[in-house]
Amino acid sequence: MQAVTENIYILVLLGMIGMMLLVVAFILINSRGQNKMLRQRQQMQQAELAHQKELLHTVIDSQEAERKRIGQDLHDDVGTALSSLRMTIEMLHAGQGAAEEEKYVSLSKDIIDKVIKDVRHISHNLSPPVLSYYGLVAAIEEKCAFINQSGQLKIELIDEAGQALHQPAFEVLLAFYRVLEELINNTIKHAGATKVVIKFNADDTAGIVIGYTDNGKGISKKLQKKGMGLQNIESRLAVVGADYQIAQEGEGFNMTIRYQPVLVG
Amino acid sequence: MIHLFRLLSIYVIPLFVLIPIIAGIIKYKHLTIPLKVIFYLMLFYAVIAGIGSVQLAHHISSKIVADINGFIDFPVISAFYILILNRKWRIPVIIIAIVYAIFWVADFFIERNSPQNIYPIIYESIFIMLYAVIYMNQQTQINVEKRWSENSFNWINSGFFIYVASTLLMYTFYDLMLQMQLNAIFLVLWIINDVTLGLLYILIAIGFNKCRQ
Repeated sequence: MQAVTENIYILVLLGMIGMMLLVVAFILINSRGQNKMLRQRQQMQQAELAHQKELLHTVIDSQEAERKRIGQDLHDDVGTALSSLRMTIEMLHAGQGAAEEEKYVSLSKDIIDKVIKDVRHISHNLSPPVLSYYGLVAAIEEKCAFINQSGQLKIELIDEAGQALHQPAFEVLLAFYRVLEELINNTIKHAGATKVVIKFNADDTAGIVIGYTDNGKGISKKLQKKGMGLQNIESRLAVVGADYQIAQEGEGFNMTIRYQPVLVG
Repeated sequence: MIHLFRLLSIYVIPLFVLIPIIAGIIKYKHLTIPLKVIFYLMLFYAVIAGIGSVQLAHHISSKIVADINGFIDFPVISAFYILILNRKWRIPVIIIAIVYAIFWVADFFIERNSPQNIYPIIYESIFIMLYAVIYMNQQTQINVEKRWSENSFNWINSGFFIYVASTLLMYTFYDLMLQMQLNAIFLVLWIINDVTLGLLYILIAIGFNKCRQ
């Protein structure tokens, strides 16, 4: 009886100690798990923040590069032409013959025409008028026609989107125009491609889908992450709420942009 | 051994209840509603501990004091968990607390000749363990904003969990052990009970201390 008594007490004692240790272990494991999850979330947030900062720097750098280009164009083309115009006008003075006068007036008109053309070209680059009057497809068609003339690159445009591309706001279409412009520039500068296909699609589930494919040498994963051009594209698309995907399989470069129009109702 | 037991049960552990009370008073203006519930529970424990100690010192039965403690204790702890658990657990916890109250009243008559009403304590222990596990699971589902140790509720929840889990077996076999010959191991069990109770008070005090503006 004494042995049974002591057995029960010992069992209860061991049970109490065992339960305590079990619960303490459970609490410790739970706390470690929570702290680990918190650390991982904080790391992700920091990485996201760093990425956003990088994108912002890219946007600012792009803006500065654009301003520099515009400044250079204005200086080299318009500035030089206006200087020539001034010199030409200075050569005009009373007492010259009609033929001499006619020569300088004609020359001045040619210079003025060149200035108008250069200013139009710079203005077109800043904000293409075709985009606002005729839409995205027409603006891209105009760009493609200009590039196709060179003969070095052939751009094929397939439009299956219909009226869907006239629905988004101008800012969205401008973003798509700039993105396609950037992609074409990258193809010309780096890809060594001979053919580009741009396809516009639209349906109720996927929204607007823009496919860009070239037959060049493709893009390395490193450049996908670090390239300023792609960062520019990412930030432009992020601002309008579109997303993109770069396909890894196959040769060449393949990008798909998806945009779901926001319904206002 | 019996002297150690009397020292712990009558003097040391009852005084330990002052630790969370002092911590609660210092941090009172920063205490949220659930923490205030626990603070008032500690005040109640202090009164019960004081009366219980005096009765133990004079070899008077503390059954009535223990009964009152049991009647108030679990509903207040349930109220704490109602405030810290998700909304979906409110109705089940309220039902558990109401069933407990009915069970306590019934048990008051069932165990009126026993030295202590054990069944409600076992019921209480099981459900507090359940609340504790539900709370810990809830914490793994949400996006926590701070480390585990910076959350007051984690400390308090751990305190209750450790205390009830450690003492559940003892209370389960309490009546059986009482029928047997009292010996040193029985006193050791009570000492462990007292030590875990002291640990509960310390963890609650840490929980109050973690409160910030």
